[in-house]
Amino acid sequence: MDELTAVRRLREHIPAMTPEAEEAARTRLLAAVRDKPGLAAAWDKPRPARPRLRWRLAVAAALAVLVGTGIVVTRGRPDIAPVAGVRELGERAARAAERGPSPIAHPDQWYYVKELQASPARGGYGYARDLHRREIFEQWISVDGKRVAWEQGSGGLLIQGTHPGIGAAELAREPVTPETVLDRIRQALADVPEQAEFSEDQRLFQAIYQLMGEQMLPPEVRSALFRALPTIPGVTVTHDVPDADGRRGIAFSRADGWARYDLILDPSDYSFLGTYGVAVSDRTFHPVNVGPVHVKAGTPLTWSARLDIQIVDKAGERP
Amino acid sequence: MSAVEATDLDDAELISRSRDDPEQFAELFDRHARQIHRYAARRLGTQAADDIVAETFLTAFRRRDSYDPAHKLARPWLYGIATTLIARHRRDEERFLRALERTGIDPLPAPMADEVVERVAAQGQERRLAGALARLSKKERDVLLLIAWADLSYEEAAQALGIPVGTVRSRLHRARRTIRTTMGEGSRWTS
Repeated sequence: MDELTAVRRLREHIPAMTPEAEEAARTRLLAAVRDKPGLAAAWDKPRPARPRLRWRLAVAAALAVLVGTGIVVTRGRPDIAPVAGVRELGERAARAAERGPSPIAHPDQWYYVKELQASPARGGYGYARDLHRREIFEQWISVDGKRVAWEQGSGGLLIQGTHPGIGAAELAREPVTPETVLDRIRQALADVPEQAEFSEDQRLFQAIYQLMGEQMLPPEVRSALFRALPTIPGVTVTHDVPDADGRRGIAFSRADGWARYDLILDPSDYSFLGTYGVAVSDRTFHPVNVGPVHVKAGTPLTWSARLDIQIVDKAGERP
Repeated sequence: MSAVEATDLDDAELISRSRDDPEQFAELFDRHARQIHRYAARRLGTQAADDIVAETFLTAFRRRDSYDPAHKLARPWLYGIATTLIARHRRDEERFLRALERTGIDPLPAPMADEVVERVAAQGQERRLAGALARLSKKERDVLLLIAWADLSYEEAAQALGIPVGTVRSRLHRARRTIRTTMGEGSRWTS
């Protein structure tokens, strides 16, 4: 045996890195990754903010909350074995969803949704978010999924049509399968004005996380959606994604040419935690009466944590 | 435009993308953390290695803008960072090796139980080897262990340490000669 072989044999049987140590090191890395916002967007001369559908904020009623960077432990225990791929995540989440509660909401009622969101970045024109500032955001979504309401600073309520404009009742019509739920969402999207920056599959993915975040879907619909997600091309798994409240989850992710979005789920029961989105390439937008608006790759687009969802009788009512 | 799965990208492309989308850097951790741990653990033990792995990737993340994309694999770069971090614990490393030489008991975590019989037989040679390693210069030991434990090639070791390949060869040559000399009397080493 030569000396190099002898050295190779020395301490050959050293124990491998434990899963806990690996998790801890990965967490430290992600904390550093998240602390650094992507490249700041380079804005043109200042213009008034243009509110966009879905990312419009409740003005003045919003409460600015400064959240520290401490990591918050998710409720429950994480699943024992790590998820290998997106199909497995879909299957596990579907099974957990099947055991979930069956909310009973009257068609005239509304869902009250309270979220913690990363605040819009100054000068961001409604596109960019500031990962270091959070605010409470409340909205009401009609149970039929067609309308959304926000409080205005003046105390009035703004109600308008929302995207994708479909509710639990339509999604839960028999038969409920991964294919039928996707078809129904596609049909609903066909009626919504197109957003040129998103491909059809990306809009489908976004519609799914929006539905999961804003409505209380019955178990069979949620599980069908979880099984449907892996069938959408480009949907992958991302591990250890924090929501805006620091709760760490597992995410379905999808990136297209312009942006990547994460649908973040609690790893113990696959309940909805929040969403995260980031631009992955440079893009220029031309909103009406404003701009051009240049959004650079790395700009955070959205970051949320759902704090509460309840059924209420009227828009504007709090539980 | 279809999404490219992170697993299809080589290390250089991944690091490049992570400049603008920092999230992607986590994939580099998934690819290399365990290997870095094994190397660090063999030099300093598993607990110290846990920290060194974390610090290695944090450092790498901070330096990702300056990564040379000509290097398709990030291993040499990562091992280089880890080796610098390990160097801070040089006295501990040498102390552990000398303890193994003196007592025959490795202060690093014990090997598997079913290896005990084989280890008893190898005690003498292993102890002398540990002593030889302890007495190498830091530079020789780094080169030797990057090649023997991290399985780097001469070129990769050169990249990791930021030295010419010729220097890698000469340091390895000196290290091997020192070990041969130390193992000299009554040993079965061949040159």
